[in-house]
Amino acid sequence: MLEPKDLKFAKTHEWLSLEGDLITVGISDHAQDLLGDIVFIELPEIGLKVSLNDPIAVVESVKAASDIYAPLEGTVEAINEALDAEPTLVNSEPYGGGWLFKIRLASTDPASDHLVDFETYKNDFVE
Amino acid sequence: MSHLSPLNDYHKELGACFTDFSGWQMPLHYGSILKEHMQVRESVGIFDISHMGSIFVSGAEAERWLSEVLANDACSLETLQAHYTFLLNSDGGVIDDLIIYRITDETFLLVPNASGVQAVAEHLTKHLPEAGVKLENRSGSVVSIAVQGKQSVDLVGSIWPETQSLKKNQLIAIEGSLDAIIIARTGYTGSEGFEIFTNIEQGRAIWQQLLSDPSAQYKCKPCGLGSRDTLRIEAGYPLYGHELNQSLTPIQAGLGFFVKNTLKSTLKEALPENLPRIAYYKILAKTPPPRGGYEIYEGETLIGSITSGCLSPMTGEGIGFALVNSKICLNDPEKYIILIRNKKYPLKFIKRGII
Repeated sequence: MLEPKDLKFAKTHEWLSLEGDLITVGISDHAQDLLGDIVFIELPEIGLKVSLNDPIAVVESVKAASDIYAPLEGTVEAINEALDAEPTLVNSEPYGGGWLFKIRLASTDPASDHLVDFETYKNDFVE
Repeated sequence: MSHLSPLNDYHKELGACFTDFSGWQMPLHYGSILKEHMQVRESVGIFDISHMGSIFVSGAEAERWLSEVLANDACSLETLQAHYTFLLNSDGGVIDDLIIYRITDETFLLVPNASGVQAVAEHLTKHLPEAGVKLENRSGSVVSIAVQGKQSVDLVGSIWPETQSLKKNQLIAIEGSLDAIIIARTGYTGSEGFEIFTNIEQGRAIWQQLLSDPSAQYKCKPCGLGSRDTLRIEAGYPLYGHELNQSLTPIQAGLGFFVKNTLKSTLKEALPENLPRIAYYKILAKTPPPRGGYEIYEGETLIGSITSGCLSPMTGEGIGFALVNSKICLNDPEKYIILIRNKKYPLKFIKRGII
């Protein structure tokens, strides 16, 4: 389980953690709470090249379908296969077992001004 | 400004997530739509349905007049029985679908949808005879509670033992300290259950009583409109505005059973093979939740679109209703597909309801 304070957040409610040039991406606890019970997740293909803000996954709750955007540019390297059988992991463990995909970054020093820390995310993007 | 249910403060205390439904702020869920769905299927849950209308019709001419203005035959309705019916426009389209409860020989309770109360009340008022029928629209000042699930019989019976002998569509009127309590063996979930109608003060006490359950025997939980929707889709029940509207007749909606015979033949004659109609589908592969507007094809030809859908919490299958533009084949697993975000999934049409 990751600590939100160690993560970066996008205003579209994705979080990411950085290890070298590999990022793991999920959605925030606030986002999963807004969506409610998640019943289906469509993840990108491994190897897909993604640009900043490409819609590359869909998280669907009983009531709504929500696009998930690439928070940085790179190539999809892994997806969370466990979500296929158990999409509610995103509800129960948004910062752990409910991660969505990993992206190998195109640049080791990407422009990331659009990403914020947890405090700023909470204050500015969570009503 | 949306209407608030007389139980609104209780919903807030219970941590409800609210939604706007036909101008009413009502609970969507109290934490989890899926858990509330399973609560009803496996034990018992209660729904605040006070947003629905309550129109009382009484008088010596009430039975005869209601048989004229409604699509089903109120004359065939025995005292302390309920049935499903429609109010139709002059083209046979549905102004609203409603349940009519015969409380005494000369007193009827009509329960239309929240969205239909005004249209129903206006239509009835306009067609009211000069004498012999009294119309009283008490919508908004009645608490209506649906108690649904296999343990509902025991739970409701523990409070009102006389309800245990009620069969489907039967009702009783119990004298409360302030006003009658009408308890009917009706519901919209496909599980066993009751619907309770009474005044605000008694209704608030009943809501609390159903949840208090001192012996913790039933573990009754509050459920919101989210699970009410997935439950009715599994059960194969239509929702006004989705499967019913002013331009579809009950026959097109597949609900001819609830139309009196004399009217049915008239409506049927007006239904050529190629008129749109409502059908029930099941998707035959692992699929995202089917949602309103998704298109259905027969081969390359667009034949209709989804009006309601969900992944069944019971089976995981994609199920629901579609509006299709002509007659379709039932139980053909190879003919039809649904398109979801440009991916094709095989679909078949089946007899409505999977539970």
